[in-house]
Amino acid sequence: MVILHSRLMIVAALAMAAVAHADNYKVDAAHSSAVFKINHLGASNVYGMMPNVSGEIAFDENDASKNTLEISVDASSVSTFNGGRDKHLAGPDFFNAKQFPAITFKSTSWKKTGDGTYDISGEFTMLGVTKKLDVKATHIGYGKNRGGKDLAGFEATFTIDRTDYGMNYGVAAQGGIGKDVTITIAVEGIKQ
Amino acid sequence: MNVAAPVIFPALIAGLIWLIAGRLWKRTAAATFVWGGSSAIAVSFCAGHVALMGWPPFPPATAVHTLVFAGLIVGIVGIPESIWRSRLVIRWIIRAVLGGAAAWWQFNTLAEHTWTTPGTIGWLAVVTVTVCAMWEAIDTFAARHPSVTTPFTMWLTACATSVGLVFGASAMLGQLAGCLAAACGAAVVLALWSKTLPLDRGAAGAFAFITTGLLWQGYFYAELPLLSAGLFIVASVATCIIDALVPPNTKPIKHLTIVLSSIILISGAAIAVAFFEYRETAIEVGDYAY
Repeated sequence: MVILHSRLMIVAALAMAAVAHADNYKVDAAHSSAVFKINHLGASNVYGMMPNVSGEIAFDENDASKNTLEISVDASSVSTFNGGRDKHLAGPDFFNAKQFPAITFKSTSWKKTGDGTYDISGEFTMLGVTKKLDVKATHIGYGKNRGGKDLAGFEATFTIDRTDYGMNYGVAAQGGIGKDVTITIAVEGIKQ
Repeated sequence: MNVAAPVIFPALIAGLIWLIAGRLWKRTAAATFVWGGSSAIAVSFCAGHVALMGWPPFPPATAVHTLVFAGLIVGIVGIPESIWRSRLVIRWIIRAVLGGAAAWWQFNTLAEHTWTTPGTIGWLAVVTVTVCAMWEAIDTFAARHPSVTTPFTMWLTACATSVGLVFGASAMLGQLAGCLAAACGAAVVLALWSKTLPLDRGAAGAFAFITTGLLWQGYFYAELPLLSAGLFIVASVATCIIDALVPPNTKPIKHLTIVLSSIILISGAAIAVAFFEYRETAIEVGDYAY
């Protein structure tokens, strides 16, 4: 009887190991941000950031199929270090933050492509428009914060055509601002 | 797309529609002319929107897209509404239903994410009442002044709204009001050229929907002060009331001066409020040029 019980315990433990879930991380807003770059009048690139990032990541570096990512960026937090421009950017001409407060990305699949690099497919939503988006992401590394909690960091850079999301105002064809926006999202997650 | 296109297209299209309607009107009953005013405003605003930002998706993705479709719907509804001139109560019910639907269409995301239930009811009621009030005011004014006066007051209102919205941190909304001003400008030119054309008839509905929509979007989604948005709407309504209060024996030129002064003064006050708010913000957080 004791032997049977022990065997059952071993089988159960093996079964649990086989279905082990990825580690869950909650995005630390204080150490995460989204940075964007856009062409201005064909002459230069202007950079801005959205520091209010939230979300959750499930990450297993040994099995990418278990990984999931949900990120939300507060559109009203847009900052280009010029208050007047920030108000304009947050308004209906661009991010329309009062009508669409969040810009989101939700992964649908992860594929490991190398040491710490991944191709992530997902749905990117901005201005109420959702489109499929593929991004190349890098797992920066692990760490511990002052409270001793485990950390994991990720970064991804990708380019979107803002007009695909209905952000048509002032595009280059009108002698204004570029259509393509290069976005870098850097997130640090605290293990839950 | 050329920068001037959002102004030139609406003016040309509105002018063309009014001209065609005018030619047909000479052969038929006067009442049938209303399709001219109604569709001139709605279609020319649509053309301006397309020139400025491309064709809006359907269903509309953002509030500003809804104005194109709301304008076209009201433009169509405005035709039989203006021809048959149903009883005031029925007219107000139709307008209230359309106004309420347009208000919900434009601001439902605020209702879902920002407003409380009483706030939603209150704000939707306010937007609806302002749409109906402006529609009735311009319609009544147009019936009293079937000449260049009505398109001119609409042009003044649209120009002032455009300036106010630019100060309210949305060049896009300001330019869309500019499209409306261009269409009304075409009506003014045509009215001066041919004094017999009743250019204003039927235009009130689409004009009121688009103007109030732009103003409320300027307040809710951009930085247009509430007082400024309110004054722009009051300008149209007050002009109609002041016009009715002018004694009947007043000389036409004096009458016109009183009416135009009221719209200029109130709209000027609305622009001043928006400008000073803009200046204050610019001093606080920094100015910038697009």
